[in-house]
Amino acid sequence: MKLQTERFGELEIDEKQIYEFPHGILAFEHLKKYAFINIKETPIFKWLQPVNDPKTAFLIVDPFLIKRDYFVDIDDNIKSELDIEKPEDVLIYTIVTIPEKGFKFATTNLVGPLILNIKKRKGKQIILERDDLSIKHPLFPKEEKDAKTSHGG
Amino acid sequence: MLILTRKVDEAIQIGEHINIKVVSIEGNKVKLGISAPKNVSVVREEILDAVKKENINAGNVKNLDIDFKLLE
Repeated sequence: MKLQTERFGELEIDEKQIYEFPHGILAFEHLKKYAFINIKETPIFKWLQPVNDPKTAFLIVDPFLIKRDYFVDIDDNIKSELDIEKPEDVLIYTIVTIPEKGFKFATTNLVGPLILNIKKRKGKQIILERDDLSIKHPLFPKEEKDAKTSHGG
Repeated sequence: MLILTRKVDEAIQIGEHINIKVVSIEGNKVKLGISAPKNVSVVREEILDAVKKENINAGNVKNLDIDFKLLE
């Protein structure tokens, strides 16, 4: 099927590759179907493109490469909602925010990860009530520090 | 909105399966104990609002000048 997108133009998508998010994601509960777009420069990031909103797209990242000790408990409720049968069926991504200042200052939301069942093509955003996690976790803490010091403080 | 006043150790029952109890009160902080089925999400409102706001910012990302070489 053809997918209209503002950022990537018209894309040819295999309908069987489309994921269902029964509750959408927070603030976008009406968007329940998504396509994943790979990025040729890296497998660490992907684009999450809603099928029904060409203007919206989410850059997502593998959070375990950003925070080595990141963990998410997949409880029975999530397992049943997403039809998860085996741990290998699960992939977790977090949404990236890029501020005006640019990609060097990008952050990712470790509090609201996206839980995906890659076998059943279902997904959901959950909220982790944990004090050790940040909604704005910097992707490049070293870059941020360098940029700050180079501006003379 | 239903407004109820509770003392420490008093509780409120919502529907058949949700119960909220006042565990303790310290100054302007109330500690609440919440019993709810696993399929009912219980989150602090400000966290929910903050995640929504962050999703909206993220979903508007315009800058496609992304230098993926910044990754180690």
